[in-house]
Order: sequence, then C-alpha cells, then structure tokens
Amino acid sequence: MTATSYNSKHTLAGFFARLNYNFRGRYLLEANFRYDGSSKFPSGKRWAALPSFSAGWIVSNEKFMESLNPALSFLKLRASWGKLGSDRISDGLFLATMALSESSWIMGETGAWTLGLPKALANGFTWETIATTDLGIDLRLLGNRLGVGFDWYNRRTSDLINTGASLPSTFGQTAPMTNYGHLNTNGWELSVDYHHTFPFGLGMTVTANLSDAKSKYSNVDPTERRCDYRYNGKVYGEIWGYETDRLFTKDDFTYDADGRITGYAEGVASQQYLVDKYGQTSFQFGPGDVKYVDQNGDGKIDNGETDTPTIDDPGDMKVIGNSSPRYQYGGRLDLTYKGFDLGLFFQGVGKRDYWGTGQLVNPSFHFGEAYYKHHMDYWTEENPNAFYARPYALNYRSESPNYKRQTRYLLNMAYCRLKNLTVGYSLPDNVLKKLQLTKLRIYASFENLKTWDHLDGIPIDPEVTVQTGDGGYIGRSYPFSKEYSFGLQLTF
Amino acid sequence: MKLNKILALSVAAAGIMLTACDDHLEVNPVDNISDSDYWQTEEHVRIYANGFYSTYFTGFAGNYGYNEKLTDNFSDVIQQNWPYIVVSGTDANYTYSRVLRANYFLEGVERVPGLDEATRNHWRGIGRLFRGYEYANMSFTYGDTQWYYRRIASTETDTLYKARDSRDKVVIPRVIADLRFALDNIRENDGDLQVNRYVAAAMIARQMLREGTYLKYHGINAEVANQCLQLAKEACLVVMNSGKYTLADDYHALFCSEDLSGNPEVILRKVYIETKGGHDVLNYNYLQPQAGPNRDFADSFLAANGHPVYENNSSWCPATAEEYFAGRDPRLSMVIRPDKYYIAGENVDGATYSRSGFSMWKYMNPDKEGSTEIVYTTNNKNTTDCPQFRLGEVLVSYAEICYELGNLTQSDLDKSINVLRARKGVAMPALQTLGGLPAVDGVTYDDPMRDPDVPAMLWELRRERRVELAFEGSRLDDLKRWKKLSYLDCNYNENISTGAYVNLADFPKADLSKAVLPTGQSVGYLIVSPAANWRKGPQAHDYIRPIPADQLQLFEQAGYKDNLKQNPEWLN
Repeated sequence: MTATSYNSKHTLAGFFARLNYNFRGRYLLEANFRYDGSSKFPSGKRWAALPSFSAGWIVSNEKFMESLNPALSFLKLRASWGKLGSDRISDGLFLATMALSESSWIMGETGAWTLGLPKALANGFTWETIATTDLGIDLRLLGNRLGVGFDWYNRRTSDLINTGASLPSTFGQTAPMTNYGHLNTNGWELSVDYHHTFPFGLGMTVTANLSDAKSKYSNVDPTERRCDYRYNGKVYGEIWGYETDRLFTKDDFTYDADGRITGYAEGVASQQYLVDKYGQTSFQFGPGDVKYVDQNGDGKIDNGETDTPTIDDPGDMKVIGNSSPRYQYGGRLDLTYKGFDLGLFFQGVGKRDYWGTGQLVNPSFHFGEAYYKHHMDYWTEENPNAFYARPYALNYRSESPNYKRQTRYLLNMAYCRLKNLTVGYSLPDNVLKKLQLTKLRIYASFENLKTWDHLDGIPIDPEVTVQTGDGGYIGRSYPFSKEYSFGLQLTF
Repeated sequence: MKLNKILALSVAAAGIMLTACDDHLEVNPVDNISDSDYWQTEEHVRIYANGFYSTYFTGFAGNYGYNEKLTDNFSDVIQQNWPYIVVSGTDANYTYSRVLRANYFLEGVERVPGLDEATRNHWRGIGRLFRGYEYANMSFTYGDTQWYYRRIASTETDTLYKARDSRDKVVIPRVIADLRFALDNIRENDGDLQVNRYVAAAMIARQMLREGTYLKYHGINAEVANQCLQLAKEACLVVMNSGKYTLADDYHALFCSEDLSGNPEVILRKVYIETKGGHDVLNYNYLQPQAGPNRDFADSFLAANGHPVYENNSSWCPATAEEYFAGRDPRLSMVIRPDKYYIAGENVDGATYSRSGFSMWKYMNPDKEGSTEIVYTTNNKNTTDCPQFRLGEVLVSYAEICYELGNLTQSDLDKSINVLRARKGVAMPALQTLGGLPAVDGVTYDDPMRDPDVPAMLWELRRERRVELAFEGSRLDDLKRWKKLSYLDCNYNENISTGAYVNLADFPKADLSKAVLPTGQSVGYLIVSPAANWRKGPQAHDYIRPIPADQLQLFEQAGYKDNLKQNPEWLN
C-alpha cells in the first residue's frame, strides 16, 4: 500500500504603518510603510521593507478656481509611488529537498521507491518587488455631466524570482532559483462618462474606457540571446516566426524530363531545412506549399547558424506579432424613456496576435484527419490563390513544413463584442398602484449577441485562447455562449 | 521625555517581535526529504540507488523486436532514416544529470555513519559502476565528454564550462578504473532484483566490448581498446566461472515467460505487472501488421549442418516456407514463425500479416497464441519478464572479445559459442578453429555472403551474435562499433529490403498491395521497401551524435568558445 501526501505550510508576518494628512480638503498626503516577512525565503532574506506614498491636490477646491464652476466643477491631480512585495512561489524552494518517486523498477507489487537529486541552490533569493508610479488627473465638467479620468503609470517588477541564467548541460540539473531580471511596464488608462437628460424625457448615460500597456524585460543576464528566452529588451508576448511570402507556383522549381521536381529555381531560397530538421523525409516542397521569406538573403530558410534563433542570428525568423492584448476597451450606453430602458455593453481588444495550433487552424493536423468546412479553400492546380496550402497527410502532427509559425496563418485576435444588450419596460406608477404593486418590469437580455472579428470563419472565440487541459491546441475550450433570457421583475 | 520613553519602548518591542517572528517564519516542510537529513543508514543508500535501475534497466523499452528498424534485421516500407540529419538545437539526452546522480550518490555513501568498509565499498562500487556505465554511454554517443568526479556548484563557472576530456586518453581510462573497482567490490549477492557482482560483470562486459571495439575499428586508440577488451574478458569470466548460471533449456522461453525468476540463464530480469503498466512487445509484434524481419536476416541463420546456406550453393532458394525453415539452425524457428509465410490477405485473422512474409515469433509464447487475456492483447499491458542480462549474451561476447584480443582458442570456443550451440533444442554442430578459419567437423568453410573486409572466423562470431541476440536491441550498436553501418544501405545489400521467396500461385487470396513482387512477376522475393523508399547510405556523422547547438552557444556566450566544439563529423 502506498499513501501520498501533499502538505504545504508557509507563514507570513507583517508590520504596517500609515500616515494620513488632509489639509482643508485641498492637499492630501498619505504614506504607508510595510515590513513583510515570508517563510518562503531563506533566513537572512525573509524581510522586505515596502514603502508607498501618494499625494493629491484638489485644485477645484482652491479659491481661484471658483470662477470656473460649474463648467469645471472638479479637478484633482494625483501622484503616487509605492512598492509591493510578491512571494508568489512555492514553499521551501530554498531547501535542498529531494523528490520521492515510485520508479518503474518493479519489486513486488509496486515500483521500487527512490529519490531525486536534491534541488540545486545558490545564494538564495528574496522578495520580488513591484514598484508602481502613477500620475493621474480627474475632471468633472459641464455641471458634473461629463467626467474624464486619465492615468499614466509605470510598473517595474524587479528581481523576478526564476531559475537564473542558463547553465550548460554539464551542470546536470535545473539552475538554482535566484532574483533575476526586471519587467518594466508602461501603460495608461482613460475613462469618460457622460450623463444627460433631454428635455423630452430621454435619459442617457455613456461610459467608456480605454487602456493600453506594454512590458519589456531588462537587467537579465546579457549572455541570454535566445529569441524564445527572456533577453534584454524583449517585449512581453512577442511572437517569433517566419514571414510568409506566398504559396509556391510551378515556376519556383526545376524539373527533370519526367516532370519530377529536382530543385529550386534560380533565386528561390531552399526550404529543405524544414523537411530535414523535423524528419519529414517523405515531404517535398512543391507548388502549393508555403514559401517563406529569406530574411537574411542566404539562399535558404533556416533558424540561423546554430539552429537556435538568437537575437544576433535569428536566421529567417523575426518578430511577427505580439500575443499581449493591446488597446482594450469597453463601453456602456444606457437609455431610458418613459418606462422603456435600453442597455448596451461592448467590449473589445484593438490589437492582438496569436499563434494557434491544432486541427481547427492547421488542416490535416493529424494523419488522415478530415478537413473542416472552413479549410476547403486549399490549394489545387485549379485553385492557385487558395488560403491554405496544398493538402498533405503527414506522419506526425504539427510538424508540417507548411504550418511553421508564420505570418500567413497568424491569427488576428482583435475583436469587438456586444457582450450584453438589455431592453426592458417598467409599468408607470399609476398603473402599479391600481395593481397594488411596487414594481413590474419585463425585459429581454442577450449575452454575446454579436462579435466582430478578423478570423475569417475559423470557428474559435477571439476571447478564449488555449486553456489548461487543451493540450496546447486552440479551439478545445468552450467559447463564450450566446444566451437569450426573458424576464419579469415583480416587487410587491 | 515621555515621547522618548514611548519611542524607546516601541523600538524594544518591535525588536522582540521581529525576533519572535523570525522563528515563526522558520518552516520546514513536513513531507519532503532534505539532503541534509538523508544519508543516515544503508537503507537510505539502497533507496537512492533504485533510481539507477529505472534509468539503465529499461527492459522492453529498448530496441526490442520491431524496434530494430534501424538495423539490417528488420525492414520497413519506408526505411527508417538516420535519426540525426542536421545539428539539433537541443537534445534531451545530452545531459550530465545521470553523471551528477552517480556523483551525488558517491558523496552520500561517504556521509552515512557507521558502515563497515566492505559495505561502504559495495556501495562505492555501485556508484562507480553506474558512473562508469554512464560515461561509457556518453562517450559512445557524443565522443569526448567532460569528466566530473563530484557535484559542481552553479558558481563554479570554469569547471562547468571546462574543455571536453579526450574520450580515449582521459574518459575511458577513468571508466575502466570505475568499472574495475565495481567488479572487485560489489557483493556477490544483494538480494533478488538487485545489482550484484554478476549483474555488474554483465554490464561491464557489454560496455567494454562496445567501447573496445569502437576504439579499435574507428582507429582511435589501440592500446586503450585492448584495456577495454581485457576488462570485458575478465568480466565475462566472472560470470562464466561463477557456476551460478547455466543456459536455459528452452531458448524461446527466455523471451516469452511471465516469470523468469527461476531461469538459470538470467542474470537480471525486469519484472512487469499489469497494474503498473506493462510493455507492448507482444502487441506490436503479433497483433499488428508488420514490415517484418528481412531476407538478409533470415538467410544468415546457418543450415543445421553448421554451414552457411549459400555455401557451394549460390542459387539456394527454397520454394516454400516448409522448405525454408527445414534443416536450419533451430533458433530460426523460434525467432520467426515457421509454419507459413504470413502474407497479407492470406492469414486467418487478417491483421498479423508481414510484408516480408516473415512474422516475428521470438517474444510470443506459442501456448498463448490467440489468447484473449488482457496481458496478451492490450498495449502497455504485456507482462512477460524481460531478460535484461543473460548468460547467452556473455558467451557470445566472450568469443568475440577473445578474437579481438588476438587469441581465440578452441577452448575459448568450447566454453562460449559451442555451449550455446549445444543448448537443448538448438543442438548445432560445434564451431572449430582450424588455422584461424572456421570449421565444422574438421572441415573449414567460408560464407560466400561474407563481407570481404571481415575475416572468416570473425564473420562467424558476428553471425552467432546476430542470431543469438536477434531483436534484443544490440544490433545497431554492434554495427556502429564494427564501423559497419554500410550494412544498412540497400545499395550495398539489397536483401535487407526484401523478404521471403514466394510463388503467388500458392497464395490465391494475397492482397497484392501488401504482398509486392517486382512488376509483372508472380514468383520472387517479396519487396518490403521499394528503391524509392531506401534510406541514404551512412555518412561519418551517423556514427556519432552532434553536440546540440544550444550548448555550443552557451559556451560561446560565456566566453568558453574553445572548450566545446562541434564534433568534426558534424561540421559542414
């Protein structure tokens, strides 16, 4: 009999002090001081001092501003800087623990139990700190009907806890954890709200917000040059891949007397590397296959001299997109008129790329798999301008030389979605009185009613990317469903 | 004054609280073992050592049965290509983690208090056995390696990025020292399913024969090659002279028994049980169509009179399965199903045909054919024991080692090859050496199929090894160490792409898409792999794997470019 245990325990301790100062509702000052300790760090590195400060000036409360009221009823300027700590790591990582496991060497009714190597340790690690600087302005205009808020912020996550700089295989195990590198984020947020009631009884409320942020790594080990690792200056979320030129045509190849392909035509870069590297020996590039751009002009498509793209020698790879959502926005419009109400809520992302794999986006992903309806625009001699490449049944999935990470099949996940639409009608008070009711409203509500996207019919939800349990393949998680509901609200 | 007091008190209180809190933050994991607490008893040592077993004794997960596709034994419709065509970016096998594991184990053994010297030496022997075994593997796979005697801290940059040590001048002499220590110090008996002196000897013989012949045939270092072969011979004799092992009466049963625990030939067995996941050697070799053992392999089995089938009979070509299997080395009928050729469309259950006509038989228990028990029908549920190390291998190795050392005598043959040939149920005539030539019943002979580079006697020893160890996963390594990957080239030996000689008139229901003869012919050798699907001939770089590019790059970036260079075979 065997039993397993997953016991974890960690402790925290914190000291906290706050100072608040408010001078006549005009000048606001606040200082916070935290001193936090966590058992997740080795002795001597457990405590972190984490101060934060903020200042505000309500300019509109100054005497000299009174003349602008009500055109400008409220104006506040804000500035803050603060540091927070993060101990988002597992317990006991600084201890040289050895994992117990059941081996495949059967003795009796179980595998023989054994232990793994003790975890490699270096000089330990301490709290990650997140320092945020924020400058903001809040405004209310036109007799309080229009509100505008704007924030610019910089968030610097310092001393990321991670395995340190790459060590050679001679080290024999995972590099010890250490504080290593920074992630620097610059962003802004804008919000606007506007309320107005028209003389004929139409009430309107509009709220909208728009935000954007971009993060970059810095202070990592300067020897880290691999494109797929964190290197200095790497933009969070960037996608490396090939740029697609077009699909090959007959003229891109040379042929022997029997019409068999013998090689690439003059000036066409060889793509044989993509066949050899992934062992797709039965595959041969021909008309209808994807032609990649030879970025470095060396006459062949590859991943550089060392076969591992680095920022110094990325071969024919380049940054083809970024998977971080940019320009995220949302907006609400509420209208009321004589008992009728209408509410609309939109949400969207202005820019986002995504490299998806899986049978929904790669035709013939598995050997012998049928094509989906949206894959039918594939290349044939009669359909040379197709979107998808020449059909080819591979022995192994996801290694098709035609579906390498590239611009042609990069998904544009920007979208705008009508998340909610509600229409309702409430009976007027005089009718309610007769019925001896406080409220009676009938309504219809529609969730996810309409989405505008750039997926050209690929049946995936731009709001849902690969989730845990999808095996890394896109389109295996439930999309957001459309929901229609109709209701009656009664209050006695 | 009052404020000062309050402040002083506060600071004092904060100080006390901080100290108390630091204790509060001292949390030790309750269900994890730490390096500092381990290594207290011999049992701790034994448990840690179990980790070596699953790494090195992988049973049927090796190249057993149809997995010998990249050899001249088994064919495939599209011949399995050389595994490395371009320098790989990364390579999960290129890791020193297994070296590290052995070195850490050796440190641990020294830390255990109160062990007597013999006990400690046994465990030192185990640690050095696996370190030596690992370095022999790494050398065979990658050439020069970095030798480490201990764990290296992440901060010891110069040591982590040190230059590769010479395979023959540094690494292998140290491997020899490790393995010799193991051979001299490991216990004769350490319980069932545990490494003892004889398991160690069988492991040492395998590694040292491979390395010794590699160094010899690749012209690397004749002196060290000799040292390897001497140790290999010594190790074989440890097993052969122990009196503990004798050949099993039933050759076939070695490979298809549910329980090998009482088998006198088996030095170490790997046990499989259904609940912990079995293997799939039976399923993949019997319940699915296969391309099959090829003609070259099947032809290499001697006739029952001890002579090669083509000797003085270059047109030897039996017309039926019955004639083909009759009068042959009986091991042929235990490796390939002798009752008929398994032609697609012809055999009873449809799925178990072989494109070569030859259907593998070695791992199936004849009594269990057609059984519906899960352990015979389901992938990863097969539970026959694997003979991880057996006397038969030691014996064929011994004869080859003696030959390679330049002093193979009749007496050497009589205690090795001829023991195998005298096995019950095999009963082949004894092999004799007459003036260095192979002979049977006092008559020397020469196989017309012999590779002219290989002397006639050595050719016979290599044949015996190919036959005795058929489909046990050693063939590719053998060809590499003999520098004979050319045998995998159909342009050199077309017979590895074909199968049995058949007359389609005998197989009226044959599915002609899977029982292929040359166009327009109805009699001939079945074509398994058409010429268009042949693998390319071997190149120098097919003997050695490339150093993965990510490692070269790391060394370069860390300023140690000259310490790790690509194997010359892999430079363009």
